[in-house]
Amino acid sequence: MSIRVSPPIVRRTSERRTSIVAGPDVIRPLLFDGMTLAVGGFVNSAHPMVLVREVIRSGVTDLRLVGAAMSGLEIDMLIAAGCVREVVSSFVSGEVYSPIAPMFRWAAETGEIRVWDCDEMQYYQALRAGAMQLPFLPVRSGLGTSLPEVNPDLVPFADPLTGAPLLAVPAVTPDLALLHGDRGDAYGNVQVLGTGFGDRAMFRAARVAIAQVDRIVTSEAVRAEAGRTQYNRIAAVVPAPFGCHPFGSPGQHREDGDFLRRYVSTVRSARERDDRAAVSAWIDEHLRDSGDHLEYLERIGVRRLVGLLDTAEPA
Amino acid sequence: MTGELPTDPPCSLPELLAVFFSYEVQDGEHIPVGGGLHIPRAGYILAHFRDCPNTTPLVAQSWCYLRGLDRAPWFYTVSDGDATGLVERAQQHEVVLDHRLDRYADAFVIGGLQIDPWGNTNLLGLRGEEDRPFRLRGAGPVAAPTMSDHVSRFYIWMTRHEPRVFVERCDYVSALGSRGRAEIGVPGGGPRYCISPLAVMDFEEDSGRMRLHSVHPGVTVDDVVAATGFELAIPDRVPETPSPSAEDLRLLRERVDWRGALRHGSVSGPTLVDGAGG
Repeated sequence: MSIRVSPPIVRRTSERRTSIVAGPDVIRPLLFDGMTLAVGGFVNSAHPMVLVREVIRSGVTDLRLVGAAMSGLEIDMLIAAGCVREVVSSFVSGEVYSPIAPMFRWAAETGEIRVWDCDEMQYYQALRAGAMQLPFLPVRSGLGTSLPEVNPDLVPFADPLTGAPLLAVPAVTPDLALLHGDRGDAYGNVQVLGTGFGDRAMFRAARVAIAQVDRIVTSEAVRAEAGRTQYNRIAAVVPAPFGCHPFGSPGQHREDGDFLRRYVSTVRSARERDDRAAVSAWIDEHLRDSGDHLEYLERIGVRRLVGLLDTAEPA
Repeated sequence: MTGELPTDPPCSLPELLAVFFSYEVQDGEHIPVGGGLHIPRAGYILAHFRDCPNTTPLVAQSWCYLRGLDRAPWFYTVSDGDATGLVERAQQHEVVLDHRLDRYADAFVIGGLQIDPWGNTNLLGLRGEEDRPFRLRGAGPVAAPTMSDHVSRFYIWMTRHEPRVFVERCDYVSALGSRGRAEIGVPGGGPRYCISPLAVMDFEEDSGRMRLHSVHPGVTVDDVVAATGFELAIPDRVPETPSPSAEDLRLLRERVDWRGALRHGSVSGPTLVDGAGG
């Protein structure tokens, strides 16, 4: 682990709590081809990119990738890296950078990936069913639309109480959820400065959850603002300052618009030339072979990172 | 200081549409304008600044109060922006749709790759062949199906008005328009307006068919008919979509879109000065 973290401060020498601070490679034994992997965040924010780069480096393939209900270019990059078989999300978009995520679009059109289509309520019902260990949960939204046609896993049925039409949304259970928090203590109590978006739904459903945090703080600091704690009893907490880059971290820094624009234009021009390998090469250069996290940040550079702290004026 | 419209630069189409949308907002309403919809969101924040103190804009997915600020924070994207000091309640995204939607949201805005005569919309994509379901893959339906099923009114925001977008039949339907909710037992009131770069459309009360409501400055009824791939109901009189007052344009430029993204036109469309249509 390249990032130095001081041992947890304890008050009593009899304290026996076990630190779960680890490097990003802690996720490696949990990855397997074909697994269901959830990656948290929301559109252009709060994606656990130190852990995502570790996934890319691992060479894992055939992922059933559960993005956020409103996911973004982090999903795109994992597809670009060749890791993905199917995407579960109600919306994959880079917003101003690319209204439709470009690699997601390309791969869905060629058949390189499948999309498990759902609307936002169906998405959260699927994760909720997974968390509650139910086979499905019902919705009405989506009835009368093409959603059951494009996603045959959504099954129309009649309400057993009234006979009214409903759709059954099957459970989605991530084998592993990768999450971001702004800070956490050494024991895995993870806090956010913003809203945490919809990450709690992944946390609740996943068999295992691991979070990266920008800072490890004392447990006293956590307790002073316990309302901010989103996750606890997770498997590991990975220190990762500026760990969301190139995405923003609400309350800390904005997204790196230049980096995202370069990524989007790389994918678009590769598509015009039908050169899938060009995208893989870009991923290799910028995400896979970027070294450990501090080497990655050194390549981005101090001036750029400090510039991202100006949250009033995203670039 | 006069009542003259600022002319440097002249009002752009995104600015006109933002101000149009601002008059759809009533004080006290909550309209959670979603992803990729920065023009109606600008209009919503404009209404909040102008005369709707009890509306609650979302910044960085948080309920905020902005009227104490000189200028709006970053609002062009749904997740970004700094809500520090502005947020009154953080929104937990996974339970947004768990709130009674008749209490949570007074209206909604959805987009579409395609729209049909009844306002059914398509955010999934265009149909492909055999084993590839999409020859054009859309971003996905997001909350459009649920919200459009439940809210008492919603707006359809189309960024293009062409015959292959305004179609007789969508390749896929991801959200219901003026019809279909009674059959599935949800209470929504349906679409109020469809807004495109050429015109504002509404929906006939009895048939639910799309009807021309107003044409934007510089656009003719014939332009709209030529750009629509199905038969549009045309009333006897089709007014012009109103241009913003000087006060609204100034408020929009000084306090809401002070970064100028709407002024420089993020949606394709003419400026009012050259009067070109289409």
